[in-house]
Amino acid sequence: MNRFWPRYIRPLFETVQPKRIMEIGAEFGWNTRHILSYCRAHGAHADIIDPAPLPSLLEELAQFGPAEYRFLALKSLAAIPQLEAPDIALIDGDHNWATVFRELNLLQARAEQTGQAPPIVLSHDAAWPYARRDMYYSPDDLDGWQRHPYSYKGMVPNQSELDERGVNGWLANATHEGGPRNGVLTAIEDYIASAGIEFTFRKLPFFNGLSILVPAARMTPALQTLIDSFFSAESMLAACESLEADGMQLRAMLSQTETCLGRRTEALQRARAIIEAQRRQIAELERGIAAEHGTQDAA
Amino acid sequence: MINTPSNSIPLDVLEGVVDGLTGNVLRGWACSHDTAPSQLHVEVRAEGILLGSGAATMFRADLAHAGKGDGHCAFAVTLDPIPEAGAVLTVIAVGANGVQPLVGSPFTMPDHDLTSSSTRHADILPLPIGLARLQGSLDQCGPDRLHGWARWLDGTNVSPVLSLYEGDHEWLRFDANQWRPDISEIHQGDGCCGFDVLLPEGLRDDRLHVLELRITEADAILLKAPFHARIPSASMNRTPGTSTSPAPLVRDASSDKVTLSVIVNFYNMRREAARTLASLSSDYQIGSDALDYEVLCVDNGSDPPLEAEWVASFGPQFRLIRPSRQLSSPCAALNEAALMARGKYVAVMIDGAHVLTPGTFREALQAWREHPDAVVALRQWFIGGDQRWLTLVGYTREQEDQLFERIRWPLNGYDLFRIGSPMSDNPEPWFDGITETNCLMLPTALYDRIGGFDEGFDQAGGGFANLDLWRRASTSAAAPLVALVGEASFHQFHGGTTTNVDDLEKDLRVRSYANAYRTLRGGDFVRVERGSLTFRGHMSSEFATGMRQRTLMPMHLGVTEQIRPGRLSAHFDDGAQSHLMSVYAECDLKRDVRWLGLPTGVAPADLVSIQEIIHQIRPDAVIAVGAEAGLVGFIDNTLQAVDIVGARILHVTNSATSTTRSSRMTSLHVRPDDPATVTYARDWAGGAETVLVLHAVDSTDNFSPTTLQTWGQLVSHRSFLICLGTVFGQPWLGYSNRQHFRTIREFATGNSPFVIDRSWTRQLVSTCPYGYLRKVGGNIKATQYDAALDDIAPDQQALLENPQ
Repeated sequence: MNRFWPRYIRPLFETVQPKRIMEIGAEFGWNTRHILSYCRAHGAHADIIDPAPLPSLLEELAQFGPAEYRFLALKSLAAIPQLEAPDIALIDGDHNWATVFRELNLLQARAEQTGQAPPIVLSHDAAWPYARRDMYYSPDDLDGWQRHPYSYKGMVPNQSELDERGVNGWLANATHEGGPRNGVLTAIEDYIASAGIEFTFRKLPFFNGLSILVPAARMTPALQTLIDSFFSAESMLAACESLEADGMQLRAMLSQTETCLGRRTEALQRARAIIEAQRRQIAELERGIAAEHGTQDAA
Repeated sequence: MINTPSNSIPLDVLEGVVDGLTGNVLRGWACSHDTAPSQLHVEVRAEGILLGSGAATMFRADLAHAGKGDGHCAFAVTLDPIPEAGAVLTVIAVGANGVQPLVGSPFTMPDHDLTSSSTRHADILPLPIGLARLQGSLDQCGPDRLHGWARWLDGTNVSPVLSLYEGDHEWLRFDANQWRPDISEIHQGDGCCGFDVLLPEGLRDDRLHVLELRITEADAILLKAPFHARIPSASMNRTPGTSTSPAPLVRDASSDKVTLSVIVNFYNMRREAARTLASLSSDYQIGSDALDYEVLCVDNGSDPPLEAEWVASFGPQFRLIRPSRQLSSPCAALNEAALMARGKYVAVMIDGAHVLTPGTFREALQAWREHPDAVVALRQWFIGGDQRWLTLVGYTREQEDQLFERIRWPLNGYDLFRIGSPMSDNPEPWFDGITETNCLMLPTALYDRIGGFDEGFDQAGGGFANLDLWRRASTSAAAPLVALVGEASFHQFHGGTTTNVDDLEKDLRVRSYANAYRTLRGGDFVRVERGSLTFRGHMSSEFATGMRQRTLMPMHLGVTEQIRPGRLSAHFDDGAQSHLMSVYAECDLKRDVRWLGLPTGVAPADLVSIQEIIHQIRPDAVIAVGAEAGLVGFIDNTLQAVDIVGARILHVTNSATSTTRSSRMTSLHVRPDDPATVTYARDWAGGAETVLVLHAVDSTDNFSPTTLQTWGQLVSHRSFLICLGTVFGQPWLGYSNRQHFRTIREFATGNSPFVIDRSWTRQLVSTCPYGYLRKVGGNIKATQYDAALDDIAPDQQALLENPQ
């Protein structure tokens, strides 16, 4: 989500001027840093929710204070009902239908309870691989009906089945892609279909996808113009440049990895030669010993 | 207000957060990730003056889940004296290796009176409970329930009795004795220390309450300070601008009273109406000769319409009602009919496609004799099975008619159970909570008082109006909510709004109904749980006793060759799976699972899983620690079948019965927990790229996280450590301490590279539940590459130079 900040999220913040912000799922705290800097500059306040804070997040939080944020080491579904309704919510938590669908409904319910419009919601991972596939950080924490069969295997584009060679194989991913109640984007679409209010919904389909969900009650001409501008030819060209830079970075990393792999393979080949040499030497010594024993026995 | 840690130790060794102030108590957490974690002490100072200190040792489940130590790292420091508003507090954690300012420090005292509740917010939960003898957590307070846990630390067998106080007023008193699997599985005790109680209406007033949790026995306060909770009222829960609950119905006095008025709604369902009305007739309903009742049949705009004569042909009690307004929602029509009702009680059926069993009126009357104000609910079944699926595969009304003919209905009305199944997937259909009833029987005065159906539900079919009526009746009833057992209503196949559409369409409609409900009521619909119900009745049909499907009819309808897609979680939940596995373990059925005549020690499903894992990861070294000979033979054959060139097996066993049967197998007759054994195994694995380890938990007296750590180091990235024999018996009675499971959980939490991969135990019966541990972490990135390792044998060059 951090990569969306400069070109998309920051302009959204500057246009909307939110006073209350909620971030669900902060991971390393890279996006949190931007949010809290905004809060400091604009007198806003953020609720940062992450049940498993990483040390780097805490280091980021340590640069700010209670005036800017409140941190909750809770799951979003436990935290949202206790917090004030935000103007903007950024969702990047547990990437599965049940969680995202309930997060969106809870945000709406919380807003309605306090007489506000539902918040503008920015959701990460609204494109591949989790647009149409669930992922569970802690599968046992969900009831059986809330999760699909899953496996700790990776994902490959245009392939429903999981694959050992795919990405994110360290996570519990749903074993199939698509179908009902599966994935972040499906949850957002299902929420929109059943919420009973009008939304503007747009999706930036790169960097794993960012969905922008604006309830009609919070839409302004300036915001509409800004969101439309994200999809202009100029903006798309800039996105292409970012993607190209990202691709080049990955190719550089691949090249570095291949270099390392080549060196390690050569080292293993040398080791194998050493072992083979030692094996021959041992065999020769054993034959010598046997021959010596044979001579002694004959004597 | 910048907090830059200085002279501090790294956050990856010591970390913590200041959560906030509750009264005069500063709360937060701090934990150490040092290799020898020490108890942390938290100090709070203002301008160098110590205001309070305390140990960070209180338990919080959310911190345990987050891998913050073992969860015993929360603190609650009482500030004395209470600093002035605006005072800047420094909060530091002090450990054996140094000090660390916590995230959120410096903390500025809020500028409001701590004793005033007018300006402050509700506290964020959970709040830890920590006394010398008792620990626990207050997890949730509102909007409906008080939720948490508390348990004695000194082994006291009696459950703690807690009270919720506001000042001197006791709002609630309850036992902390409910079973909480998360507490049982992750932490100490048997888990029977939870509480989950409904908050009293008096607290639900949108106002900020200052509450205390006390232990009744000692009248001691459990939390360091009172906590603030604002619990929304029903009106607060409403969406602004929407109507409130419906106004009471006002009816004209009637002198011509009867005991019961049945109000049943029809819309384009003449075929179904015929059976429904027959099931309401005095010929069908047992004992109804002694019951004075009427049946008001609402035709809400059918085309062609029902005829009054046809309706009256079912008996003198029957009459047709044509509503004055025809709306797509039947709510207004039903209320209009209700105002014409003469009964002391009304039975409302919003969907006229439901056929009743013959004892419905009799059981309701019995309930009212015992409690005149009782609210009686009938559970819902399908004719023919899950009609939501049947509708997709060719099931027709004609086939349903054949089912009725086969039981020669209405000869014995209870034979409906032979051709039906409960709408609920719950394995205990009679004792589950109730979401909806299609025959709600209640005092007419109560129906009037709550305003009957809420006409705000204006969707076709009424949406959640029926659920809402049941909910409001249940919360307003002055007498028991009676769930009839052995009597039911059976839904006939027709074009209903949610019962006869596919899953996707139903999903969409139900969600839109749920949203409309939230708009009207301001909150999500909550069903009436079983704890609120009273059960009465008896089983008049053996076929009604359970929902597990049997072949009840020898004849086949021939509707489809397809198999209904099931959801394992609905039909066979974790509890049922645990039960099945325990039965399997206690009957020692694994002894019958052999491979080529030798015992394997695992269930067949485990053999399949191990075979699949070998196929998937293609190990070139398999280490089987304490495994049965049959399992090792099975692995050997699988490696051969999968054709992994050069794959080897090391069988570590202290049994002399192991036999080396193939060239790929090495047997080692030693104690598995001998450190020398692991060293040998490491040497044996040598340069193998993919190492798979299987470890029988009963092969050692000391199955511990350390054991797993030791053997786990031999497992390759993305390979498995399979713990064999982790199954336990009788968990439902708490006889098992589930030690193996706890050991595995402890091993796999925190920064462990292993995860518990439960996707391998989906075949229901496994002797290794939670035992499939996959190593998903610990991979090396290019940036972490250690080039020094490339020089594998720097002192062995001579061999390469002169190998002869």
